[in-house]
Amino acid sequence: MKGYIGEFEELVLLTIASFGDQAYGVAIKEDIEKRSERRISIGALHSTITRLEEKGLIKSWLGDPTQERGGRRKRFFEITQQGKVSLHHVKDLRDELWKLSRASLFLAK
Amino acid sequence: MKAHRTIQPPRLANTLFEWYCGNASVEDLRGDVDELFYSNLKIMSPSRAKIKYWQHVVSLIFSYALAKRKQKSAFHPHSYTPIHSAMIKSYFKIAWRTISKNKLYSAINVLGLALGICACLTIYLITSHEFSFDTFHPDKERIYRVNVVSGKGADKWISNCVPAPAPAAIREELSGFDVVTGFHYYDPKVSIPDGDKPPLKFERSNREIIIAEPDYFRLFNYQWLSGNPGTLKNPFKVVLSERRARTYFGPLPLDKIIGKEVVYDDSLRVTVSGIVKDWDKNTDFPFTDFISFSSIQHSFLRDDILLDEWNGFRHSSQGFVKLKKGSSVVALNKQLTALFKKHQKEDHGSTPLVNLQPLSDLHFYTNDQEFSSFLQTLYALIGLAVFILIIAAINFINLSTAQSIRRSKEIGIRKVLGSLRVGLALQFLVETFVLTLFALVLAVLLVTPISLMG
Repeated sequence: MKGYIGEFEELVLLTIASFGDQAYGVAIKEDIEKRSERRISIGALHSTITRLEEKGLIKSWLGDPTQERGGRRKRFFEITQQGKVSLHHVKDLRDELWKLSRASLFLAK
Repeated sequence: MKAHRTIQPPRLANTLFEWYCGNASVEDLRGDVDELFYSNLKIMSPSRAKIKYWQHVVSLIFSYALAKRKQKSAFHPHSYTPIHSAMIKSYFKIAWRTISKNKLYSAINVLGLALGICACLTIYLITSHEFSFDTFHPDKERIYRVNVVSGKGADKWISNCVPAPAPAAIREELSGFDVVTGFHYYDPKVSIPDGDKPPLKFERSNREIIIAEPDYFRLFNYQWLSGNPGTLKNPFKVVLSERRARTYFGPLPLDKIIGKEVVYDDSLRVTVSGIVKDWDKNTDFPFTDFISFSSIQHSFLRDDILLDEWNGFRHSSQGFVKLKKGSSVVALNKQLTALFKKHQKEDHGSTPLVNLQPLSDLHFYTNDQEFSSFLQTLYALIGLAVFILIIAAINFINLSTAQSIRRSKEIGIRKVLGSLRVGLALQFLVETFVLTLFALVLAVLLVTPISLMG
């Protein structure tokens, strides 16, 4: 696999996965902003999406032209098998580390 | 909603974005910024939404996403590419048309190249066959034949054999060898007694029957189908190769063949004590019958194979060694020479030199020769093959160059019609490729009968 997945990449990848095959630029941006309560620029988001596509973790296609964006087509993204595998790797690693450090991460109520 | 539509995104930002993107495909990105603008209009004032629009455009202009898309579009000027599948199809079509238009030229070209390739392939088949002999043995780089060099200068000759007692003496007196073993070629008539019926008779076969020690099977690796090398310690035993066992005894089960009798030269009666699988690779050791070495002392063979005669040389007596790892051939040659000198009482005027010959040389050096004319012939053939291929290639280039003047008009028209340099080059390369492919197929067809023969 080419490279590791960064924190923001993981966030974008998971969001794309949550949308099924309906993920496109604005939708991803707004979802992440809503959930993580941080502002992200459209440029940064598309850069990350481009990198994910280069790594083969997502694939994209142009949708049909619709009325809502002045007839401009949307580019939809979908997670690939390789993307799923990478996410599982990341999660497995996290889970393992969580398991090992459960005691020290205990939050007193 | 209608009201919002009347407010447009800032024109300048839009133009800037359009200009910056050039011919990169950014339809979806523009759609995204527009969508964000219109949704912002619902929650903020038009002027703030316009500022946001500017921010989005600027962030995209400086983003990796756009850099990447611009880079991608740069490879497709005027959205024309010479490696588009339709173009590649066209190259093949044009190649076919050109070839079938100039039938004579194409035929000469293809035939010339095909003959060249054919000659090369044939030579390759011959040389690879010759170089493949005895390359499959484990530890093959440690196996040597003991040769004796006699005479000096022009009278020098090499015997690829040893006096009969030599292997035993080497084994006893010298260290540095893993295996020392001798064997003797023996070309007897063979008969297989078959109860009351007249025995099956086999004529003398050339160099397929040897008298061997158990150690022979430590020198070379055989797969044992029945029995083991230890049985060859006893006199009047023979180990057969599977194929030979089938020739002698037909389709009997292998363990039934053990204990059967084989008679060599009507008087040496031996029993089968083991069966080994034949090697199916090229070898100069195509032995099929391994008669136990100890049979010599107990039979008439002792008058033929003189196990205490150091001064005689019989070409049938062979000595082979497998060196220990790290042994030096030069030092061992000296020790062997000293050993031979000690034992050979009669002096022939000059002391014979003992020389270990690597297994890899065996196929190329026949008896009495210091130089291998065979090996030289093979190298000459390889050189010839390279030369033939070069000539065939030059012939091909010549014919193509002669043809190119006639093609200049075609190239001109193509350039006027907008063909790129790369596209033109590709077209000619494909044409050459098709011609070469024809030549290759023809050559392979021509070579097939030869390769089936070998």
